[in-house]
Amino acid sequence: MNSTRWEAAAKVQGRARYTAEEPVPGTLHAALVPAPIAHGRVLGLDTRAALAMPGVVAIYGSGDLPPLRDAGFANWLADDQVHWAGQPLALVVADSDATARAAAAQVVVSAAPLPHATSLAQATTPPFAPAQAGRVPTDTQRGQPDEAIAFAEHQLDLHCEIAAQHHQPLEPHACLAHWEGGQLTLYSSTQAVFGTRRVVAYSLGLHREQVRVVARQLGGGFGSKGTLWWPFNLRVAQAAQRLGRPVLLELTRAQMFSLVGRRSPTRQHLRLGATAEGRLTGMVHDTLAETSPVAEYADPVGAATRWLYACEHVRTTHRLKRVNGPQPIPMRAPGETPGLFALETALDELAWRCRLDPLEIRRRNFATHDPHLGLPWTSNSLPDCWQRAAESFGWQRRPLAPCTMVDGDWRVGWGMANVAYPVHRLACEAELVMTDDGRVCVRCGVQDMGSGTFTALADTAARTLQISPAQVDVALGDSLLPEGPYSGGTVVTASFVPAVEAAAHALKARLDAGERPAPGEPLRAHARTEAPDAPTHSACAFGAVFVEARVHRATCEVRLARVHAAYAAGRIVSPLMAHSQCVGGLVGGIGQTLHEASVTDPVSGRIVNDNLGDYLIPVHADMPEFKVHLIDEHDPHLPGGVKGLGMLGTCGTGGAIANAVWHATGRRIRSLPIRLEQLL
Amino acid sequence: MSAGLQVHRPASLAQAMAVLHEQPGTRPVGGGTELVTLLRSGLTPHTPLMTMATLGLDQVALHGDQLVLGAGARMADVARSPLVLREAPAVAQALLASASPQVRNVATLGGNLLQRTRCPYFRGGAPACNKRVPGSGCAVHTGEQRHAALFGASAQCCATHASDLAVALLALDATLVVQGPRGERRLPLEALHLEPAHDAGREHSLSAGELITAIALPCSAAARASRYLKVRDRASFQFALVSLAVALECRAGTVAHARLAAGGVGTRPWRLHTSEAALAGQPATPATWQSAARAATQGAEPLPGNAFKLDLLQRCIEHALAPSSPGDHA
Repeated sequence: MNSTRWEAAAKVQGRARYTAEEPVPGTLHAALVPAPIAHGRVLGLDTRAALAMPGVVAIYGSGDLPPLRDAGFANWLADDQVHWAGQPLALVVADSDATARAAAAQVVVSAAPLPHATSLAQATTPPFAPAQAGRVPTDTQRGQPDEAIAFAEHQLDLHCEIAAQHHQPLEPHACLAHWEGGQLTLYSSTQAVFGTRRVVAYSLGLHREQVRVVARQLGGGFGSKGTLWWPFNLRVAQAAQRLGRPVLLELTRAQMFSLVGRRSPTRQHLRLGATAEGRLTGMVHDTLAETSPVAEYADPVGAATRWLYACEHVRTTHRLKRVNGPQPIPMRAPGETPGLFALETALDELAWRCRLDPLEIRRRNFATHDPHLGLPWTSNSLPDCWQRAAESFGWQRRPLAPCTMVDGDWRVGWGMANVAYPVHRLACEAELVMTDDGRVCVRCGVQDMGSGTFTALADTAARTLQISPAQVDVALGDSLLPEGPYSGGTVVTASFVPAVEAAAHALKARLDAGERPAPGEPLRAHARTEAPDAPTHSACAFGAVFVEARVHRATCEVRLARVHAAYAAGRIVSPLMAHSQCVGGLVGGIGQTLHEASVTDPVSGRIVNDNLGDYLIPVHADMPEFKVHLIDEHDPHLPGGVKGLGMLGTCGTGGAIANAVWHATGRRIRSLPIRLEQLL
Repeated sequence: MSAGLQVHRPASLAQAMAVLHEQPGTRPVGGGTELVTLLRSGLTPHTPLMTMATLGLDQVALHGDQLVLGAGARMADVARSPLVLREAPAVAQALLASASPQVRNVATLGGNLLQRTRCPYFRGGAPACNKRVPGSGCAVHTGEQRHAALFGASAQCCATHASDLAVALLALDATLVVQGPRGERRLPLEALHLEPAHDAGREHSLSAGELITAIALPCSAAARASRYLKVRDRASFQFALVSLAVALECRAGTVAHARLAAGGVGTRPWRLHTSEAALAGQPATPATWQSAARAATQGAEPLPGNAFKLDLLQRCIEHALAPSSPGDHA
């Protein structure tokens, strides 16, 4: 079933309504006053000029709003401490967006600065081990990797540095809090409607039934519309309650650099040992990243090193240093993306040392089961991915040696990398409602970040019921609906498909038994699927990406000509959406590798390029020829056979591009983004 | 915050002069793509504005052996004009390498020449920026330097001029037609932009009440063979790391006429006089191109973060002068 995007017409015609567009009468507008220093204490806020402006309703500084019950995440407006440049010091509320912003600019902050550290290099406190790395343990070891490497025929020792990167979804974060009596309706651009409801109810001391969260349309998230967005929702809700009027806060683009998270800069140290034939004997992968002074998050950068390749001796560690910067959080395939950059460029270098084709080195180290968990894979179709993508790309014509392919002024290189991301599934409820006009509504409280959840929900119901998707309506993004999981970690499709299919089967059974909806009496079917128990198999989605890069012989500009990839992610629910997700992920991978980096000024601690003109995201003119192959993979161990593929496009792309640049130039670039001055 | 902007719509140049005379501080606006950004960022105060769109300054025409471009002509229109493509291809290439199609559809040539720097410390409101707040210092010296100028910089200011068009026009010996309270005058383009030696806030030499009305370029064989090369990280919508305009004519294997101008490297669009001197009368050989490239380094004061641009500039010069190289190669 290859239907079009369910909400396409509404979006193109401007009818799709996003959070900041919810038409709630009487809405006031909020703006934030940012901290002008990166570390220190606020001595006072002079709000006289701001309050005197016509249309300004209130200004809330630290202590002006009730304290929030600690839900374990970064908070602000709680005390006089400044931890990073841009930290909100006050919430200004006015009758228009323009007035609120103008008033915020009129608030004078007096602060006592303290020495700050805004980079790993500047940070003076020692690194520490976080409680965990993402969802997995911080440190792992199997075997004796130091000995294995020491006695290996081939030894590699490399360091990788990746710059800070930011999610930058197209839709700025927005939340609109609307109280009616003791009922709070929160329209919020959140990736977790139910998570937000839980946190808001807890922090404000309400019952969950008093809180409704709505996220009808979401213009991207990539991880930024999650935990760090919650404090904003809470303060806006408090302001709305205090003022007795709805309040809307919309972040500026610049604020989206400093307030809603980023991918931490990372330093990776990877050591490999291999036999003369290129079989891995030992790996040690150490990662150092940043975290803010008030919270802790570590990307599981070394995770893939634990299980992607067959290797008996492996150690991985993660350490953090506190810096006065925006709190890092998950972003666009967290963990595996930076980690696979290091691992896949290391494998490439090993291949060259052994004078082996890069594909061959991966064949020789293919893991037939998960070596970290010691479990069989639910399915691993990497060999099919290699075969399909290599054939599509024409890989067999690749000369082994670098610097051999030239096209006019361009040096040409071909590189590849493995792609992998773990599969997670969460509990999910779904309800199908069939009315007497024959239409079916799928009701499930998940979110659509633009990834195609609307379409996948409609397609799943339609396919199971054997009706046309045109007969299916979809209701999502509302905590009044049956509970669905958050949109993140590529869990959504894998989680809702079993629930929707179960509900659809239940509905079909009733229809087959002769039941029919009557006017005013629809047929309903509800299902709930639980999160998996302790696994007997390890579930990951895999892929392979092949890149042709061109480097100008004079200017060293890097341009990509072709990107061919094959992904095996179980059953593909909506091929059109899946293809779109993969291409979008590849674009994210290209951005991470060639363009994106935020720059922090060491003296002021502020991000210098906090706009889309100077923070470079790939543009249309950068786009290579994309060919994405979706391998049909039958996985009997996963409910619905669905793995989820949202992350795959981004993982591994960096390695493939860097490997292609090496093949073109002979230069091994280990810091991202790759900049032409590294190739001069 | 003002409730609205006052916008004058003069029907003639005479009226425009009258408006500027009677309401000093009124600012002319073309497409507004630059001015609106500056207003939104609080980088420029609200003043009365005067649109240039009603003055009929959008012509592209040949007057004898001069190509004349109206200051009010839109970038997109000039870039696809057959006259420009024939007589001054570097101008068309420079325009097409600028901004984005949306911006080019509304932005004017005059506005493009008078745009302010893209230095992130200026635009982003960093505390130390002499251009915005005289005496506050220049954060570039202790901070991000990748975008900073190699030529014409000082301890006061290192901000580069961002116009691609200006660089192409420099290599084509452009003259500006300027209308002022005392009538019309001509100004070589090279005399328009100022270096921030003492006053980083003063960027051009126009007096109050003056308007650029047209740009005149002499037609020549070199102009007809001119090229523009722009080097940047992504293929569109980014200012130049280094750019180069070349107008070169060789006769009987010898350089007869050479003009080179560079962008992305100077606090104003930078004529490469020493490179031109190294080319004049020399044989058209790779050795000559190399010496022209080396000569371009004279006067450069690189910072650690932008020193690579000196190497990049030399590579661009050698590459652009060699006869087999195409023009802009995004």
